Amino acid sequence: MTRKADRSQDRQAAPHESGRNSARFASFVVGAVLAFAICAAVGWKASSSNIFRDFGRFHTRLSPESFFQPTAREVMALARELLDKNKVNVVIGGSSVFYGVGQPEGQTIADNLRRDLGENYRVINLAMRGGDVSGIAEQTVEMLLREQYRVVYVSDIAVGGTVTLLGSTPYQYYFWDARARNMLIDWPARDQRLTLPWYAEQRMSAMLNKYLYFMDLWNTIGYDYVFTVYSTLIPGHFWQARKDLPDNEIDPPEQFRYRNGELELQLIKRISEMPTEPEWTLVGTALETALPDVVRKSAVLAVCENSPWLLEQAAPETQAIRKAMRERMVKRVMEVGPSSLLACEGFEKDDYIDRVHLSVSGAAKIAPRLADRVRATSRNNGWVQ
Amino acid sequence: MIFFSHQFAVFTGLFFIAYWAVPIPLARRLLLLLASVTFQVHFSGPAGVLPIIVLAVGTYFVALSRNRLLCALWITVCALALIFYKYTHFLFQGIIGVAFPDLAKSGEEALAGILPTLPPLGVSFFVFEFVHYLMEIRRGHRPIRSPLTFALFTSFWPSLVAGPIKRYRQFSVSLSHGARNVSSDDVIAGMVRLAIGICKKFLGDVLTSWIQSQQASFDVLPLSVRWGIVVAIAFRILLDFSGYSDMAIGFARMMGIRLPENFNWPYIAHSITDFWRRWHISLSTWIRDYIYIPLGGSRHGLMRKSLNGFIAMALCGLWHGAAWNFALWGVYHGVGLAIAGALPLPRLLSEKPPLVFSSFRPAALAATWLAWRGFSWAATMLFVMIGWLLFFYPVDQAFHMTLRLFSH
Repeated sequence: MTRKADRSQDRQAAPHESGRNSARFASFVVGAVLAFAICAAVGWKASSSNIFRDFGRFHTRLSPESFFQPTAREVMALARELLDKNKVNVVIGGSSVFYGVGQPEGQTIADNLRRDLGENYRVINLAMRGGDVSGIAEQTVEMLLREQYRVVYVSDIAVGGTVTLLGSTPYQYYFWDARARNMLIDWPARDQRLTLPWYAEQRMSAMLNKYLYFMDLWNTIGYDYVFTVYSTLIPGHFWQARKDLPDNEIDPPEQFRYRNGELELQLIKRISEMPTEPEWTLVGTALETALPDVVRKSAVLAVCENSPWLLEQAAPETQAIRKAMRERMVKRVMEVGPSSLLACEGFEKDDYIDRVHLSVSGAAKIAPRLADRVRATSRNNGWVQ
Repeated sequence: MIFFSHQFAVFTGLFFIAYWAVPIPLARRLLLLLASVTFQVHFSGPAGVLPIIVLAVGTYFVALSRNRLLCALWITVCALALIFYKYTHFLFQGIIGVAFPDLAKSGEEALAGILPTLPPLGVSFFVFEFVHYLMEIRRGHRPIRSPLTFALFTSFWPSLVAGPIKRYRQFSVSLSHGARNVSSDDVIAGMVRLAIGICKKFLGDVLTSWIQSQQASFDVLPLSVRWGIVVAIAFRILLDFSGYSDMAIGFARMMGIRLPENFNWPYIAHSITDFWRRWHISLSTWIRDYIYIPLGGSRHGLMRKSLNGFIAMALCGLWHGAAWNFALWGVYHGVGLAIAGALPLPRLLSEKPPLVFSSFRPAALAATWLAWRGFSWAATMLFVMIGWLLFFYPVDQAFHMTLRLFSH
């Protein structure tokens, strides 16, 4: 094909779409834009009020683990319904320990804490399995603080554990969603570290969702009608409306507790190495970077030790290192703002179901300790007498 | 994958708004080139775009020279580039390393500085299209003189990731048409095709998740579930490949450009030959035109025909990935094609019922013919589905899984 022929074809190619063709095309485009706009409006409307009924926690069948990703607007709508601006509100965050693995609905740490704190407090459990001090719960606290709620943030933190900047990977979408919608507290220390290239896709997704509300719309459909993404956590029911899938956390019977005792013992040995001074510094720095100071001031971080029954089986030197680590952890956390406590001191074998997760009795034991700290934090902030 | 990222969604949204809004053909072509280059640069990965640019510029000028020897030399360069970027690790680990592990290790270490961790985006498609182009020039066809048209043929973004493999003469004509006039019919047909592709890909992903959740316990699953997994794998591969092809064809159609079809209901094929007429058509015709026929095709007797088929299909398998299981999958189909073309029994599986049935009455003949078609379809599907195990898993695992399909 010659260049001359190319040019000749291009000259013939004047913009001569017929009027009928243009009209059809225009009507098609208008229809498509209108359809998008209607979907976006439905998504906006759906997430303007709480979609979750009889909410206890984001259990495995209602969480990002099973590809149900509640948006910042949806969680805030839920929080507004469950919490009260005239009371002190407690948001539970952190990992599977405070989420309540091993504790059926009604017997979780959050449920016990709610009972212990009484009518002057409101409690919501936003902890996630595999979660972190930062993440969905902490970012919701930021949003609530911006709306003038009085909030105490309660989370677990592992001995010697550090804090990720945006929460664990499956939950990072939530940060970008809340940030795109300008719902978070401005926190330059965190913002300066958001330059990694792999954040670009999440940032773009959140920006699109900010205007199109597709996640909000799809969550409503998935919650009330039908879900479309296969999940290994609910293999036989993945298409079912998530509202119909109850919280299936159980109090494991005796024979299912400490099932991997030997492996867990080895793990304790592996994680029982005293961090160096720079590493201890990093624990505090990570907290300071991930959590805005206003959140840290009203946070209670419970340092949770491994099951004493397993620890007692470890070598004496390992036990000594763990003790030193626990005390150092509490001290380091308090240096950067939050109230911190050794939440599981004196617990026994039956208070755990495995190395880290508390049993129903453990949940009942830890709640009063947390309640004391919550009340103290509330008093310090001048919210209660 | 790229087509399912939000960045890509924004890219396509902005591109199509601009493409439809610009009425001047030359401006449309320039816009398409800009978008294609942006796409390639943004998603190119660690290898960057330089290797593709070098190969493309060389291909353009060598084709303009219309020198058969130069064309042959540049085809060799393109093939070597593909081997270097895609197959070096396999050559060292899968072939040289078997006999000379130290040599393989030192060879890989020597290349570590210059070999990127991933090959350039779409390098297989680029090389196959360059080879096609240069082969056609060698056969006496006229080259593309316009650098813009050649650049668009090279870098056309919808087909960069997963094909179809384009033919330059058809593409040039179609490009010219698309740049001049995009009709509402094109846009609507393209969008429908795109939606079909997205749905297919989505269903394919659901199947993938299910397969992954089941495969670890394959040995202890009931026999029916094991067969269910094999069927799911077959559909997963079809939905994934053809979904991407549908999306690429849909995107192109939305620009008024037609890309070649890639799949034509392959799972209704009633013979292996028929299957390859329906499966990944742009690849299988490329293999036929530029490997099988140049090797001699079916012109030099049965043995030579079979050998050519094995070589062509082994290369076809390796094109899908640098591992032995892909090569063996290709050879497996090569054997199937050779048997289907050579022996009387498999020939019975092809188009017509055996002559022995022609003496039956018409109704009986029709029933027999239907039964025969059913049997030939089932035999073909069995062959194809077991082949997918080889495509999907390492050789030993695929072999083990195949055995488990026929034992309790």
